[in-house]
Amino acid sequence: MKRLKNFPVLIVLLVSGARLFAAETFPLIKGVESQPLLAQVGRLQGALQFIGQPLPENVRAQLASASQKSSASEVELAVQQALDPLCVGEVILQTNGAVTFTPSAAEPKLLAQGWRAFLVKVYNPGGRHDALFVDSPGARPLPESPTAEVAKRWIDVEMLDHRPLNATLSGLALEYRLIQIWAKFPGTRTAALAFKSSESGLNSERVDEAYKTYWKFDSGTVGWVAKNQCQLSLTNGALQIESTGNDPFLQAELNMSPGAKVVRIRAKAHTEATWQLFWTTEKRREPDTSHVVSFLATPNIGQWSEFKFNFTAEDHLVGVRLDPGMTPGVSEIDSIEIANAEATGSGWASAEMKFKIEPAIPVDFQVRDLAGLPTMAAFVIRDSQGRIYPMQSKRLEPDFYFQPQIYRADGETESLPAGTYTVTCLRGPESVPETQTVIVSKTRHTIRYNVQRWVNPMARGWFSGDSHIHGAGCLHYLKPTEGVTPESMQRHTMGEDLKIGSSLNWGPGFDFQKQFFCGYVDRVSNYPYLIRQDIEVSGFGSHESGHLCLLRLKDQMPPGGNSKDHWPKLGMNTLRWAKAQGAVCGTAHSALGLEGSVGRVAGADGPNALPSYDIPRYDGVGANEFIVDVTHMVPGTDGQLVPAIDFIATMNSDRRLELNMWYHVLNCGFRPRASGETDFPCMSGARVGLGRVYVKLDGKLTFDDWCDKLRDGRSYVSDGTSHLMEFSATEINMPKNSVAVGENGSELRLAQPGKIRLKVIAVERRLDTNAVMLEVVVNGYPVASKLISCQGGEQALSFEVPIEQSSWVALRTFPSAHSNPIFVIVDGQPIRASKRSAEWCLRGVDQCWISKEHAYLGVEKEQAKAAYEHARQTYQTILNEAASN
Amino acid sequence: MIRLDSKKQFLVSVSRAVFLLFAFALTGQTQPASELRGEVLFQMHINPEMRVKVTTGPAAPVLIQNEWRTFLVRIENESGTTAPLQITVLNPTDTHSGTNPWLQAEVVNHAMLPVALSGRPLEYRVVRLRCLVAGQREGQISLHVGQGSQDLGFRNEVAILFQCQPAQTNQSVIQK
Repeated sequence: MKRLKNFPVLIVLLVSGARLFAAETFPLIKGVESQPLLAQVGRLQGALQFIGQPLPENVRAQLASASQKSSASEVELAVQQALDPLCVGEVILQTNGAVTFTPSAAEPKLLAQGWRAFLVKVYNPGGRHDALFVDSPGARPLPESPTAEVAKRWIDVEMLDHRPLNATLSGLALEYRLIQIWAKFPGTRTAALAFKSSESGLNSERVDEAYKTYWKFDSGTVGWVAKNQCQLSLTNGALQIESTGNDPFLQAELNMSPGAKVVRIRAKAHTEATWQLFWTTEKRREPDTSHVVSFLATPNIGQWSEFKFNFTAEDHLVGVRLDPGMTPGVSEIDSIEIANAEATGSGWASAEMKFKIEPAIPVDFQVRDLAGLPTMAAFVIRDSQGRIYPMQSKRLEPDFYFQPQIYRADGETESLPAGTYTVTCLRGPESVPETQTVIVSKTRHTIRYNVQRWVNPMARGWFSGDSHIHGAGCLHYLKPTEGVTPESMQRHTMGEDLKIGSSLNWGPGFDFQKQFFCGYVDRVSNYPYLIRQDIEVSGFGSHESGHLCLLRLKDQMPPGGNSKDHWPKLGMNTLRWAKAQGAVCGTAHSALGLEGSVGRVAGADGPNALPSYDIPRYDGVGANEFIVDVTHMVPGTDGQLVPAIDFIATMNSDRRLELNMWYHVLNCGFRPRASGETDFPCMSGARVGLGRVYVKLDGKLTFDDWCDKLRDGRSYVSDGTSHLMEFSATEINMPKNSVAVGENGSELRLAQPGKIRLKVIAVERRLDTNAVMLEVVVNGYPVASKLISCQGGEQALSFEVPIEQSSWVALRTFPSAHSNPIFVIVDGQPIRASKRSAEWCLRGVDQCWISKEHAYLGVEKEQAKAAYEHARQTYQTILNEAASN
Repeated sequence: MIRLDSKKQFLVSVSRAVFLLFAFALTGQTQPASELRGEVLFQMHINPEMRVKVTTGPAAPVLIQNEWRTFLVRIENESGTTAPLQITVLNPTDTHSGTNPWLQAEVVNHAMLPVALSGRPLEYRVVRLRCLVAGQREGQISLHVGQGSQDLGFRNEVAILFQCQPAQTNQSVIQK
């Protein structure tokens, strides 16, 4: 079909899937069904929103209008009219896989030292499912560049294909892909953009194979074979090479097209030595000295180093040989990658384009706290189109790509192009958000933020903390580094005004992150912002029966190994080891596994199903084995028995399920306290301190003291919008008989049933409602309540509550905050608040065993049986002792 | 795709898939029977924190209007969870065809392969899908194992362009 690009007359081809040439920059594509086109456009908008580069408002309105059109022809026309002007060009993928690329006549606007997102229109008449790649000769690396090439290598470009976009083309005739372009200098410059498709039929797992070969040694030597004077084995997901002579080498086969290649080897060399990589091809199947690259491999004090170099294969590559030095010893390789180095060779469609590149202007931050002292805060910077700066998808620590905000301290600088920006400033949930309009012109500019607060718990001695954040795993990247450093985590906790950050090492990146454990507060801490590295048992050891957060460990490794493969499978054994060294231990994301119902304890649930008497499935990794562990006492640091588990985590999973478990075990007389956590960035990547625990201390904040008071329940949990400070209980007939939460074991002793007075200072600030209900909870049921204002400001509240039997009493503003309990002991009797709760727990132990038995192995299975039997007998005894429901 | 032309064939097909998968599970093989590899439409990864990621598998996403089709889900389970597998169509509404829902999906529950996972590191489950319209349709589908298990950043969702072939008039329509 002859193309008449930009021809102002419609040539109508009434064939399904045929193209119509119109006055628009790119020819219109006809015959596309509306549902898949609009669904794709919806995902495209979602992806742009996710990376902080939303479509302009007028385009969003055009697309909204397009979705309302009644016929498919109207929809496809309206979509193309809206999106085509945003495209840098059009790719046509012929039915045989050949690609052509036509650039836009407009000059795309780039940003010096920054990234911009653009659309590419793709016409795919054959419905192919190829991956589409983009490259540019100007994107080749500067290291090793010929002198004449240096000035041309000013651009970088990449295809954005992560969710909600697909890694491959969907097969629809019309599709829009997303690319990002980075520029080094301002001005008007030219560069070529090149596109290529993979073979048809690749699914997302195989995309990489089209342009690179990648060996990762997680589960085997994956084709690498020891050939001379060396032995290969696997250790912690790495290939271990034990060189036994002065000419060791290993080989692997591969299958790659000719051309320039870039090699990346991530390794730990045992000594400084020259390593060599030979390559063999179809025409030359034996290694020789004219087809080898040598590089200096230098040890990096036990850390991984990446060695990167280039070579050119003159014909089809069939193998590589690696010679790891010439001295005996043990080296390790984490991964080897051989990728095509440039967008040349067969199949690439390339075209020169002219770009207009805006200069970036330095913008300084001036951030001051209430006292006028320099501090750190969060900033969300959007331009007039709603695009976020710096571009999210190009962030490395300390900025996280999955957050719109950046954290900047007083005196730091960011670069922005000239324009008008909306800057949202915030310093955690206790501060008042401030939105500024910032106009950046051609001269240096300053963003000034003086933090205003609506509440200051620390002024009353309440120190916020998050008992569960991570420096690696989930939304963090594992490359180029295995997670982020404590310095970055400290920046985020400080920017959220979070006094304590328990940064827990777990499965992903465990062996990298363990270097940060020191057994005390991290050196990067900056009082009163303390970071401490500890452990979450997750992805190893006893994780299957419920994750455990182990705070304040002295030693991060149980005897018998130096990684994560030798840990006990029974949670109780993990707790025995941790408690013996004085750790404070609790669950994580407690509601996981507490969904569903495999049966019920007879009778009605409480209001809003809290408490609920459904027996959950115990099939997840939350507070599952907790139902057993809470009945156990284990030796502490001095050999004296202490509770095996100190707290149940709350505030980051289903709040009703978290509290339901907690209420039932409290009703049985056990006294685990609640902690608040985020599990950042797994349960949420929005920010650290999304779930918090505020702990009352008498003097200066120390991590040890904070942990002790967390264990003692001198605290409340909160999402930061609701605060329940100075909770206390007093016997009305004997005003001197009084206790504050967390003091004297949180116990108020009454000689006989009677009334108590509860006091609290509540502070609430929410934008979605004017008032919330503050409830008094006794043995799991609300018994009194008052509406409190959400306008901020301290509100001193008092309640009178009758106590008929030994009970626990707490306050809540569901789901925002919950106090820890005060235990009111009548006539010295233990709390036996509910037969139904005891039966719920008893049946829970049986159900947990059904779900978790498979997780206990070897000798620990017998230990698990004994631990569960102890729990059964304990709950049966409590059931017998409980007087009522 | 396991093609079904009648309710009887559907039941036979499901039973066959379940039996082969059950045998696979019992013998601890690392791959299912070769004849079933091409039936995997969803590849699911559950990380130790029970966060679920899903990618598409090699099965061709072809449906026949009004007929249930079975596909396999390959599940790598690092968390050991035994929670039930759940599948959800995220965009069941097709305003232009007026057929709502236009796509149905459910996990096949069988005594030998219950919806609850076994906790093993690798296992397979059977799901079935039915398209109620003809033409090209994009199905946005999420797989998860309960509250809080959906991974952040849309990673437990896949968008698949289904080729929904028109109903064949000489074949019976399978009713749920």
